[in-house]
Amino acid sequence: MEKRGYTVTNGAGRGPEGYLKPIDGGRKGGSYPDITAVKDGRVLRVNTVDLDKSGIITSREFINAARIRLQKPTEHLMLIKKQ
Amino acid sequence: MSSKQVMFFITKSDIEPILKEIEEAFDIQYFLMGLFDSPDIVHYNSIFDDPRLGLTSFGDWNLIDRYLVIPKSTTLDIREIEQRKGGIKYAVDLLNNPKGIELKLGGVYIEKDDVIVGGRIGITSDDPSSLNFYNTFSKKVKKEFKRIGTSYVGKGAEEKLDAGWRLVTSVNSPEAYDLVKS
Repeated sequence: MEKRGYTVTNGAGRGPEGYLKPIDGGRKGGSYPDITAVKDGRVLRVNTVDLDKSGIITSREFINAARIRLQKPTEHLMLIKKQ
Repeated sequence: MSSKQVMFFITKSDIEPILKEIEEAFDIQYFLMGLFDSPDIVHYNSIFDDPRLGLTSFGDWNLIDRYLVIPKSTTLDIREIEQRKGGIKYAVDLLNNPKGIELKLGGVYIEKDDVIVGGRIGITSDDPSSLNFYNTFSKKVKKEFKRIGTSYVGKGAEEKLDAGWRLVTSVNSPEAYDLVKS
């Protein structure tokens, strides 16, 4: 990402992990994307996800990704298979 | 180690006393974090040299100014990043600066009325120097500010919240994700 000009602001050792606040300001239901990067005023988040035996994202990861999309509906979220 | 962070919402008058105490206790310097075209990095010997202290021109805390705070006895390590399209950019972050902490203050958003953007202090290493600085700073925040949800809110910021201001990490997020008192 850095080779493409993105600044990694959260995660990957560059900064503390990112945090997305839960709905209604409570303490439960926040999200921690693995990497947050910015370029030209736009924000990109990257999450690594587990896949099941058939290669489909697991329900837990799907729910996490859906929650991030709800929290940041106008921003891009990229899901990458965990190694 | 996993990273540690404390999130907060401030006005200038909320954070000034804490920053003064910190600068009296630690011999530190501040470098702007990010990926830059030049290795000449904006840097301050005191955060009070930043003319925008307590204000932010971005409505998203991922875009606001972040400072790498390191001891004055430590040399900043700048990573050179070769770009795919050619040229080199210069990264200032915690990866090669384990003695550092990240400080982003946030504050009153100047492009829109009645919004405060959040800030945080955070570390990614267990270096004793950064841990000591982080623990001292975060203790002061926790002592002086009020915990609301997952964040700590300064007195001035809380008064703004009570007056109907939005306290946000991104002004573009739905208002349901704003900080609210339960």
